[in-house]
Amino acid sequence: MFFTIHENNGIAIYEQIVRQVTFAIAEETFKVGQMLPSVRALSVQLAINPNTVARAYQELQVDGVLETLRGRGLVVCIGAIKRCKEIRRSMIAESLKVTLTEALHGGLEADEIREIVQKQLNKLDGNVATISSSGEVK
Amino acid sequence: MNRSLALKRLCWKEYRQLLPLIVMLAAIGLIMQLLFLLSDSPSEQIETHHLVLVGLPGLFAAGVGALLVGQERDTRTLFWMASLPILRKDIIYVKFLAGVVGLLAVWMISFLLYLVSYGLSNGRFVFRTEPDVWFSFLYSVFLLVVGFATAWSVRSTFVGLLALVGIAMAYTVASNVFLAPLTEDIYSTVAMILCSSFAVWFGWGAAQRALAPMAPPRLNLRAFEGSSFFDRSIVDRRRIQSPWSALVWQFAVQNRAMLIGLASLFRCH
Amino acid sequence: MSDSITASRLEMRFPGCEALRGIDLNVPSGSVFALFGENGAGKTTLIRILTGFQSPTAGDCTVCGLDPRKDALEIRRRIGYVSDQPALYDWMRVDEIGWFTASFYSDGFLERYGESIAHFEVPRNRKIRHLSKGQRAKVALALALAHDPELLILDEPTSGLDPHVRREFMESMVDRAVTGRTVLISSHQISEVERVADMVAIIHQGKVRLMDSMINLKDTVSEITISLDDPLIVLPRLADNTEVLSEQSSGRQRRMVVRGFDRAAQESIEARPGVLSVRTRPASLEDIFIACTRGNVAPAVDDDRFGRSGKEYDGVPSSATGGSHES
Repeated sequence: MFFTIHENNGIAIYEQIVRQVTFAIAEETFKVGQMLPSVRALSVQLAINPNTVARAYQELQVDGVLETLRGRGLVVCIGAIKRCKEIRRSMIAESLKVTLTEALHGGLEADEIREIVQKQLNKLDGNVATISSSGEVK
Repeated sequence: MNRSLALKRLCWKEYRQLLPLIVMLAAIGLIMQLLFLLSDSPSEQIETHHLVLVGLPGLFAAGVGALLVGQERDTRTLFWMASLPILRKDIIYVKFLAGVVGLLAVWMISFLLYLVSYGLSNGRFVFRTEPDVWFSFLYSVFLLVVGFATAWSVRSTFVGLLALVGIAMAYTVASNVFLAPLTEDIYSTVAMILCSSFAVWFGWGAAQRALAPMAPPRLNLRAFEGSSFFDRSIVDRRRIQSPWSALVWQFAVQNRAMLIGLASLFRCH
Repeated sequence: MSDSITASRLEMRFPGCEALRGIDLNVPSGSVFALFGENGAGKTTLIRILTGFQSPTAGDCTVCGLDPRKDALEIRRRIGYVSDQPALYDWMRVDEIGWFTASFYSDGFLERYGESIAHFEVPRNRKIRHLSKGQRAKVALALALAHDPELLILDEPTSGLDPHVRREFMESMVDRAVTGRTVLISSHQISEVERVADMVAIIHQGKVRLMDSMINLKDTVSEITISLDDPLIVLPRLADNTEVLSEQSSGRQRRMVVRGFDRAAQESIEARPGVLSVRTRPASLEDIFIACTRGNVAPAVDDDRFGRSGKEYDGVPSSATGGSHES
């Protein structure tokens, strides 16, 4: 799988990895039981600090998305797909919250915002084939 | 780390660096001996053959310090070597040893060429084994050690060579003044050996200093080194008027010590 | 695990220039430690002192637990060093220089060197003078790594190199980190190094302006933009646990880079009459670098803040010198 890491978009690098793995599982790029690259392999592949990768993997384990396969590495758990879809949903909700807060703060009325959202949805719905998994907020 | 292996490799490296010089001198010597073989006047032949005999090693001796030390300093490989786990004295010893062995090799080549051209000349010129050949040998050793000493102690290779020339001239002048009245050769020999020993001692110290960690500077004789990030007065004080004066100023500042030495040399001449 | 490098009150004075004015530094073993600073800030001088090329005017340091003034040879055995534009013997071939250097180290050097050279795809039989700049840098790196040093020191090794080569250097550093070795890198490529570094130190005008773990820095430093009604408004004094790294004014806006800016601080500013909005975003490492190396910034006319520390007037808050949290 290809990851896209940006140092400067305001999201911690480990968090970007967590999101991209989560999204990838949610859209079934990673299948249940599939093994993820080792900390060493991934950190060298992306040229990022291994502690960062380790932290991402740890968080994914805590979230119940990955589990260790004794002696071999980390694999996608059963039931991870459902979890990841939930997580994805809440991340998107959070992302929307930020955008909406900014819109309200900028002086737009709730009805104006609803109108904009509806217009955008009408334009995009059916035209977006794959969901970008770069995890960017803005 | 195997020290004897390390020393062997260091020797290999110096040998590879010296080889081009030796080969070039051998080629020059060969060509010159053959060329002058063709000249008609016997006395001229003697002189030029003799000149080549002592000139080749002289050239080698004068250049080896610049080649083994100056060039490595200029390309900074000397400091790369100093960053490896090698004893600094090993670096210094091996260079000196390579210089001495190289000098002997050039002497042998030079003699060989001399003999060959003597043989080819069918005895047209007289074979000389006078004391001054021995003296030339001593002088070449003197040039070698002084060459090393100046190469280690002077940061610029070119100025180091100038210094070598200056010191050689000064020695010649001094020996003419002081030793000419003394007809015995032993005095010249002893003087040469003493001066060479002094040069070895001085060169060794200079080499140690060159490779050792730079001590925090105490006297202000150094050229402006390090950025003048905090000292803006340097920018204000100097008003450069022309490129030539700028060049002269830069050369003078960089080589203050040597210029003082050379100037005093000329004054006493 | 003891520290790979420690420096205590290191000073270095050259005629007409104070390169280091009291450096205190700790590089924990097994970390990737990034050293940032402007040109002339003192990074290279510091590295020269650590590698034994320069004796400091004052202060102490240890490298791998040893004093560079006493045990320089042993230190050289344990560390690898790659400088900017490394000096190698031009006339040697790539394999020859490996064979040559192997004699100064113990067994295994030549195999590891050969593996690195093959991995970097540098032709073995070519003379070094015929290599490109990137290939030369890779040879220097291979030479520095072949004896598996516990500490690798890199002084701007990738300046002037193309992105492929820079990437290979970063991958090598990550590889060292994975095996638990320590790396100290001094560089201007902030965004590149920020991906691989565990700890960061920023040197400015000869002193350590900031030293902290990357995680802490990213979590705690933010860039605040305040919009004001009136440019002369005096902002409230911030709590002691926040540290202002830099501050600028432009018209009716103020921008600050602050460490430890929390909700309470934000609310206290928003509560001031005349403050229109306060926006925060996490500061990138480049922002932090620029904030720390700006120096001599005229502070806002502010009696409140003056009271906190007289030293803040020269833009160098007193709490910065090397005393920040180390992990």
